[in-house]
Amino acid sequence: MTGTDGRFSLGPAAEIGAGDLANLRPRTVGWPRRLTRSIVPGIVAFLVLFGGWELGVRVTHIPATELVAPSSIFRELWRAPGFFASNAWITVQEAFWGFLVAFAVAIAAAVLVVHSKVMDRALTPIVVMLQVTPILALAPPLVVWLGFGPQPKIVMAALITFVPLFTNATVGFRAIDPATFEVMRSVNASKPEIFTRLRVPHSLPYLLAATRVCVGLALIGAVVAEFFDSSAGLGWIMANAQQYQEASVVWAAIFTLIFIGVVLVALVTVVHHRLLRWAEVDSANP
Amino acid sequence: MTRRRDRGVTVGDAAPAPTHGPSGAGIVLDHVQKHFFHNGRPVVALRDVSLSVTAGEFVSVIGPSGCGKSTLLRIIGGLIAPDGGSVRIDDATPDEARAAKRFGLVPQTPALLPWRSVVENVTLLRDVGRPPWPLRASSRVAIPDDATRDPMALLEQVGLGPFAKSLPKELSGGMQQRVSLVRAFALGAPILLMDEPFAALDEITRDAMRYQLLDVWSETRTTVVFVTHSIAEAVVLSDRVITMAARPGRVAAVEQIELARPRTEDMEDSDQFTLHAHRVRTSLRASWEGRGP
Repeated sequence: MTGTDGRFSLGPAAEIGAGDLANLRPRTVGWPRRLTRSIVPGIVAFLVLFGGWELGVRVTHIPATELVAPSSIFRELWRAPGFFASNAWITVQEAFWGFLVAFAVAIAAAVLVVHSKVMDRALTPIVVMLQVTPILALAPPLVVWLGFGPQPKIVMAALITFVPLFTNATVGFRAIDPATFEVMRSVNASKPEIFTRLRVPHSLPYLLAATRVCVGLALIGAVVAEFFDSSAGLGWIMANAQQYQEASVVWAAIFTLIFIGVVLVALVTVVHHRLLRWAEVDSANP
Repeated sequence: MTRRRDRGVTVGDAAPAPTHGPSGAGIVLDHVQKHFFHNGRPVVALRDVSLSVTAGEFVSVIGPSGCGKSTLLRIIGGLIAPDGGSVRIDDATPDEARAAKRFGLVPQTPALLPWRSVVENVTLLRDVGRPPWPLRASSRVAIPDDATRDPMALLEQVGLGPFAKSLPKELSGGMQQRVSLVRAFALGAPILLMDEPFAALDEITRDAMRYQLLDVWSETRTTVVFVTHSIAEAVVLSDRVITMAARPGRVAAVEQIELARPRTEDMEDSDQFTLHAHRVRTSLRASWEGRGP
């Protein structure tokens, strides 16, 4: 410590006079600027990524069979949007039904596990088994077993989304505050009532977080099952195009998949914000 | 002034009759026993606790940590079953009283539902046992409508009127705890069980909350069992202060508080207050020293 005069100034914050305080206004930003601020970084990053990719492919003259330029991928999409859209719709339906089946089974299993120790001990090993199984490796046997139709795709999507849904449902149902639980018991609330009034609302943030993750997983499950034996869907497009070495078609299908995933995740996020204002941590009032 | 120090005595019966229309219920505990297992060894939580609380009486229970005062509160409320002895709420068992919604519990934390607005939290306990709106025709528990108190009026009374539509997270800790108090009062239950409701609050908020509690309570004169660590709080609020000793948990002393009602902040400077506080402190110290090595 030198202790020289003037070294220990309190900084600019301490030097605001009373007159300056009168001029202070809360910093408000209009919505157009806020919107611009929130999406511009994303757009710039997007342009840099694809611009770099395009440039890289053109400069190094990588053959189209090895790496396709974004421009030719977009051209592919532009040429036959209906083709990609109709096949995407099939994949989305399979993924959706798979997710729904997994959701229903996961909730039912979580209800049993939360309310019964015996069920907890019975079901937990099965869930752990499922968790460590490389689900994607189940696709070929499932297709052999369940055949040509949408069933193996739905089952794949369900299997791959079950564990995150179950785990989050269980944690959510158990996330109730012991004191609140006791208050409910003090007026003799029944188990079903405690479930609907306490456990279900508490589990929503967990379930919506799991759903966000499962959007991507369900699509992966459906697409992988489509690889093996199918007549439609984005996975079918990819498998076929791969066979005919049409890399730009494969990539166009991948881009379609990414687009769907982004839209669905955004949808879940909007629902999350609308439904769960109470669970959000305010920066102003933590 | 009743003040007995021997273990396991029956105390009470000497509470002053409330001045106007008590809506409370009486509580009688007779030789209540309770033990828990800690690391596989039994620990006596309550030994031979007998006491009676008359309808409309405000009783505080004070004692060192681990003396079983929270356990006692939960046994009265039917949340824990005793191993021995009996508990009566007027003519009912605690479980029957619980089923009839005769308890309003105020825990140490506000315990509000974060997704419900303040006023929705206040009406929560009233709604429990009622079928959801489409099936509202019948009700499992019949609470006469005149028993429940107007939630908005109560919120206004504790200064939370403007926050009725707010979410709990938008309120300070003291405000949340006031909501928790109002929730118990709004139920219109004849017995309020309070487990250190102000313990988590800062000293200034705490002081103000005592008188707000008395203000709301004075209109109904429900029976209150109030567990606390604070001697001043116990003396200001209560008709009677019960001191408990630990290991095993038991009643050590009872102090009848002779301060007039309504209680005011000025009384905290009176000789009478100081005398009562001194006596409670002495009995607490004795119960502490009597613990043995």
